Amino acid sequence: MNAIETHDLCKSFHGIYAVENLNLTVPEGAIYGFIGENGSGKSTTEKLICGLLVPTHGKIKLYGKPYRNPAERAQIGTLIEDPACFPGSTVYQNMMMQALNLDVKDPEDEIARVLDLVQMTEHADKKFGKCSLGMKQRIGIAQALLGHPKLLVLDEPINGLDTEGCRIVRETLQYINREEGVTILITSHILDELSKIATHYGIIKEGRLIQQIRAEQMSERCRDHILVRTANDMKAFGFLRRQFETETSESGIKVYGEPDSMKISAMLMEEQIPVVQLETKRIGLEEYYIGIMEEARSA
Amino acid sequence: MNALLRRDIYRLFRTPLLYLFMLCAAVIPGSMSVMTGFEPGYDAWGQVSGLFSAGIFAIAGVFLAFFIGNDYKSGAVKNIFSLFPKKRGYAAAKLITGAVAGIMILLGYVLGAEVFGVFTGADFTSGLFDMLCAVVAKAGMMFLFSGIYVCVAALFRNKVWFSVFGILAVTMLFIPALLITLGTPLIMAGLSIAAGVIGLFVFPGIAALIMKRLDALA
Ligand SMILES: Nc1ncnc2c1ncn2[C@@H]1O[C@H](COP(=O)(O)OP(=O)(O)OP(=O)(O)O)[C@@H](O)[C@H]1O
Ligand SMILES: [Mg+2]
Repeated sequence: MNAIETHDLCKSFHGIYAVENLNLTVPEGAIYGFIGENGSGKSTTEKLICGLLVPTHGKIKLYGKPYRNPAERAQIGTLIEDPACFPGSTVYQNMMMQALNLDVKDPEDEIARVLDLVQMTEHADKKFGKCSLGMKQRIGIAQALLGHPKLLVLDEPINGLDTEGCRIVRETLQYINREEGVTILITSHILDELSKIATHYGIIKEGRLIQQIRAEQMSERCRDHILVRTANDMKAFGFLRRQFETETSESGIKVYGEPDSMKISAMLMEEQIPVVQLETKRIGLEEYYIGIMEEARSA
Repeated sequence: MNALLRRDIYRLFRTPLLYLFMLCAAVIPGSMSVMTGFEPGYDAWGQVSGLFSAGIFAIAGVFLAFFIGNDYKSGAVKNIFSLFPKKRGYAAAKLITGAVAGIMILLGYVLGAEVFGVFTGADFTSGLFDMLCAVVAKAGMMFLFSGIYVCVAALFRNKVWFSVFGILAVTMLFIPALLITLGTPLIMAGLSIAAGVIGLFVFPGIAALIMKRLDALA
């Protein structure tokens, strides 16, 4: 079962499409990292899914049902752009309003639980407007977690958080995903953080989904390697492929599975193949993403 | 709708703006009678049943414009509409909350008039029944007006000042209708309650139709 499915989803603002024919599939139980440049349509997509914008065209399904189904929607926790709080009310009052929206049992206990999760308990009586950026962000996350939602839609939740804050959020998300089976759709520009938790990725560019991929598939595609260029690539390739898993490419020979570049260099010297260039390439989500973006640009 | 109503009532009584508006309403009777040439025979109850007190609908409307507008401006609608796809419940909760706020403001007005009456030694013996009918009539009418205001505020969303002017304009259109005396105070009270009940059922639907077609986030 898919937690979220969109079919040819479009949204235009004054005739300009912010989201165009988007077919997003977020499987149940996934942590779906939704990435793209500024203005590519991530927030717009999330707002559409949460019913905050009216689609110009297309369908959205939550757990196989139309997204206007009250039973499915009652189980969403959201944090979209800024936390949705009244600046003049206290942190606690803001939490209470959302607890009342959700009709949670024992709201006081539930509020205490989520505030404790994001380590904001001591600031409960502060006016929301007087909180720092990171504190606001934590409150927004706490609000999203109220009442044990089944689906979380988070738009840049770790934006503005300090190192400790990032860690807390990451561990919390991982915990509820693993223990409570919560599906999470999350956007972030901090790809390094995202890659620690995401199980799926969707890459969006100019309102169109250009790639949707599972994390394992991606890590297969972006393995670390040593890039070798020699005076005689043919000979070098013939030699190296007997020892290592290798691959030729435009930029040179890629050698996988050998972390020591000095060793490769020494071996080639012994074979009397002059080495022109030898470089260790670490490919993480960021490099992969940049590669995809460049491909999309030149296409 | 129940959950939303509880939330709105919780928020209502924690909004300083409500008490400010009640205070404004409370000083109107006294200050009006001072301005129009203060007489020792100040009629406290007459102030309440009198025509001028129709102005509290406008005050209640402005309050509701802020109350709803701040939902949109603060982004609180993100928390609400993501959970509640049906907008009718939201509108109904706002209508009732608006009417409750209006009645609170009305009570502020009544209290202000009476307190001023005590200080000026007004006559409190005649017309009590008429005054009570007038209060009931206005309370009933509050539900009708609140419904109309919710529709206006739903149209302008986060543009609070547009809502304020829209609501004031609508009130201007309707106040003459309020001034027409339809029979005895008792009949007035009955008709107003009937109007309020009709409003309670009609306007949330209209407001929901407006909201369904508009992006909640501008
Ligand atoms: N209410 C609106 N009215 C007009 N245009 C809008 C509106 N909201 C978004 N847009 C436009 O839609 C496009 C996508 O915006 P969106 O906020 O979805 O981007 P994003 O991917 O979330 O970017 P970021 O990484 O900066 O958060 C942008 O070009 C933006 O200007
Ligand atoms: Mg965004």
